[in-house]
Amino acid sequence: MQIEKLLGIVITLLMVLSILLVFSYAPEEKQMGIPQRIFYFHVPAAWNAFLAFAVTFATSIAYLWKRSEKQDSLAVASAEIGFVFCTIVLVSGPIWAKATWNTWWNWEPRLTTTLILWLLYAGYLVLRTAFTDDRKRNYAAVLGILAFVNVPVVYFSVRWWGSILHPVDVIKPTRVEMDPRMRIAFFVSLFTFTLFYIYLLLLRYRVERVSQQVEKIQQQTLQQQQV
Amino acid sequence: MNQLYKIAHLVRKDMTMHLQNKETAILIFLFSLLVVLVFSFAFGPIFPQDLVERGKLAGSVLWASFAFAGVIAMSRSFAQEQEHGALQGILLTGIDPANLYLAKVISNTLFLIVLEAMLAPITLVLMGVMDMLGIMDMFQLLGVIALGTLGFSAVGTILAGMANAGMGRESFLSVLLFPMIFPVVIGASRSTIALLTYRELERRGISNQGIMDSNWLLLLIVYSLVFLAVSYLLFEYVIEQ
Repeated sequence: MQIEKLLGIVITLLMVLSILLVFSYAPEEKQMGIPQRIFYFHVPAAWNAFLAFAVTFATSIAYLWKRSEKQDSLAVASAEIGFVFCTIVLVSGPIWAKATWNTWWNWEPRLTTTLILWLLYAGYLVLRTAFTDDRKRNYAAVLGILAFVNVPVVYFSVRWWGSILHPVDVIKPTRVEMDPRMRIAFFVSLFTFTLFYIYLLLLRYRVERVSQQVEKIQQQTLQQQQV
Repeated sequence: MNQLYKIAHLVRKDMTMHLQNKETAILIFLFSLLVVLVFSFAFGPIFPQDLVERGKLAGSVLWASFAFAGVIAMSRSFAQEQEHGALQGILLTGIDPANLYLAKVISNTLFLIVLEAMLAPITLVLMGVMDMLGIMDMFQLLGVIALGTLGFSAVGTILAGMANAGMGRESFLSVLLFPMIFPVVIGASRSTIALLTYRELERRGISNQGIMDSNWLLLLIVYSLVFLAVSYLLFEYVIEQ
């Protein structure tokens, strides 16, 4: 509890710091201008989404192996948070794209993969609500593994698919040397976001554990009443 | 050996049930035909004059209707097992749950291939692209259909095992299954389009190797193998009660 509170305060301060860095310290990008500053939140959000889904994948395997409810709670907590960050990516991306590529959406592999990722984990969360008994843990774990395995396959298939539509990549990931000040702002933001993910995970995990206990107590009282 | 024998028996059981109880097959066939018609009415009645464009349209519509038909077929694939504790009965024979999965994948794939082999010519005729296929191309198309359907069933069967117990079977399964099978839809429709258009492209002096032109077949094979393997390992957790 104490650690969580402390972490909350640290993250609040770091968030303020990264906003300051992003808007006043980092220089403006020459070609893209102000909209480029979405980058400092867009990319860390994407990183968090992938990290969260990777954690869901790992804890799903661990759950099937060890059958500990804690692993299952971690998996669902992480999936929910990942879904939220994935939504942030899908909202902030088109805004940035409209400003720089002059289109809200193109079927670029990373965009498409993120969209499919979002759909996959939306399905995962629907699955969690569709069952009330213990089966949902098994099912969710299986889906958590299948969905994550699917991600690289989707990525490569969309890349080939796109390369036929547009012979030349619309956006070539060019290695531009980043201004050191930009880099600092970016990495502070990335660090803050990662901490934020861990913080949310801790909170959501605790909520999940409590709700599991409540469920158990409810079932026990129901049984006692029936007796 | 014993397990192989059991798999063969399960596949035979499913096939017999499909043959005896044709309602499901007819229903799914009509449904997928209606999907094709919905697309025809939405895009038609004058399809693109350009043969390559028309081939693209036909290939896409074909796989869109296969995908919808496939979801309906999958959602019913465990219906009989759920009734009267038939699943417990099957498991009591000592079959490995993973092999039960394999048997279901095989029977689902066979069932869908037969269905799709009937639907494909009708779709191609309706879209006016039947003449673009030679005899050999038809066999190749059958091969693409088989590969795509195998990948579809590999994922569909394991998800159907979950969705069957859930509420609103069909819609629930669609939500889980569609995001998973986009690579199959992409790979299979591109291969089909390549088959339909390569002669016309060659006639225009654009040299191409048709279906071998790209990685789509490889994608379909890799996809099927990966998901067969992963689902084979995971299936026991799905039917564990």
